[in-house]
Amino acid sequence: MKHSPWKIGAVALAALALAGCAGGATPASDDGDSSEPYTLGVALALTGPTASNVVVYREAAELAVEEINAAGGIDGVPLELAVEDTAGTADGGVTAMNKLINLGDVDFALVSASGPALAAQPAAAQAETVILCVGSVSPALLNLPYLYLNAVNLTRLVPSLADEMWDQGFRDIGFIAGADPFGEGAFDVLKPYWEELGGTIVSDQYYDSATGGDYSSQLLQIKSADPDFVFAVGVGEVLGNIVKQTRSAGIEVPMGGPLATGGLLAAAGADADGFQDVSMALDPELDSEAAVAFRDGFSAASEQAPAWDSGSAYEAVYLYKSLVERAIEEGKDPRSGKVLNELIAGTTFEDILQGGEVTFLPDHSVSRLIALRKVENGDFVTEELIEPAE
Amino acid sequence: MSAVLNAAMLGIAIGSLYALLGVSFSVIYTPTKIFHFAHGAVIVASGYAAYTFIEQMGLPLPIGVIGAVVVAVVLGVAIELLVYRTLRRRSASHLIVFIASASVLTLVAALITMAYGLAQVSFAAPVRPAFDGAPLTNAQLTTIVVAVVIIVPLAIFLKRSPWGIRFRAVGDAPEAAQRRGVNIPRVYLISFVLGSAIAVPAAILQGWATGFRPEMGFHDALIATATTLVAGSRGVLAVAAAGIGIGLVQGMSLLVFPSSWQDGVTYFLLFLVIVGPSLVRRRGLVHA
Repeated sequence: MKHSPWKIGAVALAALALAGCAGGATPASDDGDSSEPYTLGVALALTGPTASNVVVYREAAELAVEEINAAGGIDGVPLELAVEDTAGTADGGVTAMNKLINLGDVDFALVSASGPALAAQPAAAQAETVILCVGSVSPALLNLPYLYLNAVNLTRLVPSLADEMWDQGFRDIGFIAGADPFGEGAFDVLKPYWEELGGTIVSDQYYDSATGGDYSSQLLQIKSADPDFVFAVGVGEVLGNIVKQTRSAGIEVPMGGPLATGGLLAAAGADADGFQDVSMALDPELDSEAAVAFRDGFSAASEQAPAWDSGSAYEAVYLYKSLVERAIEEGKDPRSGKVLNELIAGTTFEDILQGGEVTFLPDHSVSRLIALRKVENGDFVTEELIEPAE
Repeated sequence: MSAVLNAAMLGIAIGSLYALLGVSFSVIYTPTKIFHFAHGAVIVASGYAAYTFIEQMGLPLPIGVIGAVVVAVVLGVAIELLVYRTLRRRSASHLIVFIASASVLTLVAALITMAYGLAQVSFAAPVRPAFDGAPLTNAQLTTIVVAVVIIVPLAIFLKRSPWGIRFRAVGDAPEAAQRRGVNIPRVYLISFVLGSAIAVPAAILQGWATGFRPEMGFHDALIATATTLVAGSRGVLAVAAAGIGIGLVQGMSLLVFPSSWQDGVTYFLLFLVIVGPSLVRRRGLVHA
């Protein structure tokens, strides 16, 4: 069959006209159609060494979105997630954020891990997209435009644990951490604080957090420095592997570090026993409506038990919802990152981990109750709830 | 002195693993000249297979190892028959073959993630210092022993057996080998069988020492490729020596550089070894 050029031209014109009509019929995001779903960006390390630890963030965020939509959405408009993989790297963070901004048109994004968040921040700030770091604690993340953290920062966590270690009589620390903002940030806080107390860091060793796996070289150096305590910094199973390999290397001194998760228990098994940690912690008895809804919902949705990390992601979605609702109440554009950035500064949100409310500090992090914990018989035992050190 | 000795011992342990990885890769590379990056997939798949047979199904260690060898050989042969042979028939360029190989590695890692999840799995057998005060763990010491036990007989076999001669002949001059009646596709196939089987001890020992993760094949493939590149076409013992050399560099670099610089130091030296001579020759310094 042969088509004349005129016929082809007519069909093309008709198609263009239809496309124009379609564009006019759905101004969508450009014109801020109020029925268009709200899109919350989520950039997580879905691949890479820390991926298994991050699954709970996604599950908790999805749970919150399901609940919000089941209850009618945000002011009647559904909420959806746009999920991107950062692979836990700085490059991955930039790529994921650019995709969320340019393709997903998001104005608010949850990001896990300090490295990707730090790398993504300039692009986010330029595009006026708010980053809420979930469970990220590096001091390098503080005081950056358009970037907020819903976890207590290392500047407060590490001194709290250091005080405890000092009181227990430890003096010579062997330090092992990833060569990333989390690990290096922990060292930058610990070193001056510990030395001011009168202690010594006898060895500080760093591993490649993008590959990880074998820490025998770092542990050989630590072993030869003969510490009386090993301070380990890692995410999830990575921390578990470090603990396991520390014992394999014949280093039997007590260990501790900030922000341990279930990944420590899963990877280290019995070797995790005795590990001391400072972290946010979930009160399993907290009876607020939101806390119970989270614990019940997450227990049903996930293979893992609800904990501070999944709770942080759940809280973050509800924080986004509350910011959008406030913008609507105040007659502002709820799809503007600039508006959400103005609203989040100094705001409060419900603490589903320990009860009460959490307030953002001027440095963009939060202050909330933290727990000194110890692993006993394969589980975390909260020894003391404390206000973070100033 | 003990610091030097400890670093050297650690380097030899790391290098023994690299030697096993490199030798298994070079057995395939010698006749085929394929940068078989999917070898990382064979390594990681056989490791997970061993974990399944031994830990999940409770089979005895020897049966588990044999099962893992079967999985490795089947996967290696399947990659040769379905990917490389198909591309060879279409006269695909080395780049296309390499991309296809890397794609297989990514695909297998994704399949393993789907099957086993992202969480690390490991053997229940404890890893502890080989003996009181030892700088090495039992897993590291076993790696050194296994490397010697496998590589030395393999080197003799490849040096003296007709198959070893065919491997080299096909790799060096395939057309001449074919004229002399060597069945080249069969040589390729045998090399995949042998190379894939030798990868299994490396996979199991690595998993015992540090656990299995779906993405570990990428690093293993990189190390195996680098080791073979450094050794050139000087045979299995040279590849083993290159592996141990790289490990020693990593270990001894601890005495000078921070531990986080290990990979950087290693790859810088690899760069010097691989690219350096060419640069020197180009500037005429070798003949000066």
